Amino acid sequence: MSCGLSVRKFGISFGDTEILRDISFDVKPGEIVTILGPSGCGKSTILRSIAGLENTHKGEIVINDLCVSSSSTYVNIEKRKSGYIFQDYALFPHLNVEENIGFALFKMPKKKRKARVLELLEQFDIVGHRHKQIHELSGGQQQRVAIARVIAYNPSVLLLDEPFSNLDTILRNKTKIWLKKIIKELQLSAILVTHDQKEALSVSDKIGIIHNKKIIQFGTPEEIFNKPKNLYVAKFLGDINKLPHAFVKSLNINFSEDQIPIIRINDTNITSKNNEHELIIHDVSYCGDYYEVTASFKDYPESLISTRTHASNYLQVGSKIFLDINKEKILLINK
Amino acid sequence: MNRFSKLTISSVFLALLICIPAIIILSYIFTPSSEIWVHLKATVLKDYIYNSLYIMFGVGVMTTAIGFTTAYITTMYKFSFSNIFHYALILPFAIPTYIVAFIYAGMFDMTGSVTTFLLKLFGKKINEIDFYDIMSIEGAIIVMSLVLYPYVYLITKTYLRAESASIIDASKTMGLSSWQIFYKVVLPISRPAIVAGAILAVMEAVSDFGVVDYYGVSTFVTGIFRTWFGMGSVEDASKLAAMLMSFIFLLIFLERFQRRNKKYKSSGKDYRPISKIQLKGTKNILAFIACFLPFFFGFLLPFIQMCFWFSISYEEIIDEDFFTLLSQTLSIAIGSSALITALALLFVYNARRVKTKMTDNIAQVAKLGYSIPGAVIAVGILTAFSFFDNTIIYFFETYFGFNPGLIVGGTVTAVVFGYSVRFIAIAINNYESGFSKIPTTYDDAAKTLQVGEKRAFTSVFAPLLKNATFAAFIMVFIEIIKELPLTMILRPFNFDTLAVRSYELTQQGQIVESSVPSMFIVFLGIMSVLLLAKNMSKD
Repeated sequence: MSCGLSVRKFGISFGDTEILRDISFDVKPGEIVTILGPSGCGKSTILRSIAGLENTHKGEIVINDLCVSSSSTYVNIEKRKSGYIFQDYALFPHLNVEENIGFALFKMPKKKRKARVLELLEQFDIVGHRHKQIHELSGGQQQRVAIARVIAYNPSVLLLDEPFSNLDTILRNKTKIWLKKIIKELQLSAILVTHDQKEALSVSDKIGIIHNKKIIQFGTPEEIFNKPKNLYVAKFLGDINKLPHAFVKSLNINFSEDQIPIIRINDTNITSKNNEHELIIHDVSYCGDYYEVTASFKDYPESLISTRTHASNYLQVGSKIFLDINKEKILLINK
Repeated sequence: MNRFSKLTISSVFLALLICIPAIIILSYIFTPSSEIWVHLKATVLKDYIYNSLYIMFGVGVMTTAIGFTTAYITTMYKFSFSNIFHYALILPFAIPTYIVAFIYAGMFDMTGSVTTFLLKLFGKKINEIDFYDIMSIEGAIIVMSLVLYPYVYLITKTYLRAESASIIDASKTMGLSSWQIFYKVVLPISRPAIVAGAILAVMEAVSDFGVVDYYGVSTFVTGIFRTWFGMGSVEDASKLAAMLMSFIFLLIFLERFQRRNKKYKSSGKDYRPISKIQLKGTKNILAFIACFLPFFFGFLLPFIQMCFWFSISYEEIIDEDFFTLLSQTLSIAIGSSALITALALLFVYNARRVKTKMTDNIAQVAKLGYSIPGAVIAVGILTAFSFFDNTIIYFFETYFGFNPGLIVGGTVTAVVFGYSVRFIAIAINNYESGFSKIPTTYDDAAKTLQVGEKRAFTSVFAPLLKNATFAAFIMVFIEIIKELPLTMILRPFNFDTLAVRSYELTQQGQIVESSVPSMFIVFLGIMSVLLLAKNMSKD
């Protein structure tokens, strides 16, 4: 019976350089936890350590109540029951789809192995491609093969390294839905690492944000998005506007000197009601789906605000607009 | 944990073994001067140094001139038969330098076929004309340059094709003329490639034995032979070898120093072919001549002469003994190539698997062997082996009262060991490039897929390295077939190879007959090049 994965006070250094410290989180079966952080922050190192590819670190890694890795323990890779999906999928180019999926099942009798591979091909909807070479598959199909290859040996932990980075937008959405379904169905404890905020918010049950070698906030996507712990998290998860202190006080919102009032760009709207806040347009940029307007408050000319709109006929640099700011959406963030 | 495994230990052991000849030779620099050495110093040492330097300078200048000109013309312009020259200009590589030297001597020396023909044609005698003998140091330089220029040609061409398209286009848009593009842009940017190619050619030239020996030029290598076989002095031969080796290491250092951060190999990104200019009229003819001459003198002419000599002498030479010679050559070449390829795989796989500075350095040290002349390696091995044999003999005589005789010295083992030291670099280079094409995630994937190291190797790396293995094997094989000085020194009594037989026949004045073993060497060389080209197109 799978009990999930626990990472406790994990830390790792390469030579004299400390990469990560004091990382702790749990992943229950059927749950997707995303480790979110910029490129090069050490996210993948966590996955590598869980898989057993890195073997010298601080803290403990526990899979299904068995400590697989600590300063004094190292359980061999093959006993960890983890499946690793690499960013480039690492499918072997000299083997076809079927052979790749069956690669780890070499100890199984041939008949049984064939049946298991067929079952996976059907489950992952790639049965029509079974005899194809890897280069003949699309990015999405390659990813399915990579996942089928690790599911073949029934892992309880699934480690996904930037799994959507090689897919185009349409395929990315489809794959997300499919992957979530597979993880829930098979009750896998999945850890996904990415630098893409949207991807993290849409696919995860929980998110941990890495900054300065540590997880600085861990919680559900809604918690993290709506209650960011600090300015870094708020900025990292989406575009924000810092609001002038005097303006916020004029709305009767009290806050301390240690706090910064912010509002997300999408929580501001240009309105025709002239009893709202008046701004002067400084710049208008066309961004395809919308226009991004940068403007300053008439009463606080030094503070620039960005907002988005679909109409453009009234947007002239130097002309005035009125902005509807929902008071409820103003967040007070610790510095 | 498992960082210092059995595999690492075996790699370290092998690397040390491969370094033994070099270490032994270098140690002779510090031995005190013997009487023979004093004599050498007073008489011929100056010649050795002067001639070796002269050859290096001459070959350096000539290979650069021929190699760069042909590379530039074939990269930048389209002209009559330019597509054929793309390959034809590499063909001189197929004939070993010493064979071309034998053939040219047979054609152009005082009694040579061409000289006699021309004298007859003009009705003159040799003493009536101003005859310049090819059997001279300048003749040796010309012959070596004609065969070795492809080093400069290949490296410069690869560099120009991969790196310069946008730079040349930019120069064109700035209004530079073809001549200005040549000397203001192409020449300066190609410098590291030209120097790298020229240094390889110069290293080959200074290590040469066959050409200088036959043309009667005294260099370090012929000096080593003479001191060893003529004067019977191991120490002094080794001392000469040590001087030569230090000199070559200095060359390698200079090459690395001049290269420093300058890259001259393609980054692989943004590759765009150069748009070639079509030449017409006189320029077309001049370009054709510039490429045809090196091809003609470096390959076609000696090849035609060799074929002709072969056709008139093969019946006499090819007998039962010749087949024994052929099978002996093929067996030692195939066996040694297989061994060297396997050792190289062990080095490179281990360096990838363990990834420490030490394993990386081991492969680099093992690669140095290629830069050491065959004669020097042979002297080092003989010294090491005779020390080993003498120790064993002493041990058996002291404790068991009998002499077991030579165990390794003068055996095929010594020859195979020599080949391994000299040619393992070629196989290592092939595997390094083969492994570099395999993403490291494959290693991790194989580990996380729980298949164990043995299966990961046999079912992932071995099949993916098939082409690298093939290329390594073939390249080492052909080098062994062509190898002369090392085999000459280390071979057991009565053990010949095609190269040695070809050399021996020329020593007996049978140049025409020597074309028969030479023809087989060239044939095997061309076959190998074709196989490699086919293999590369599969890659």
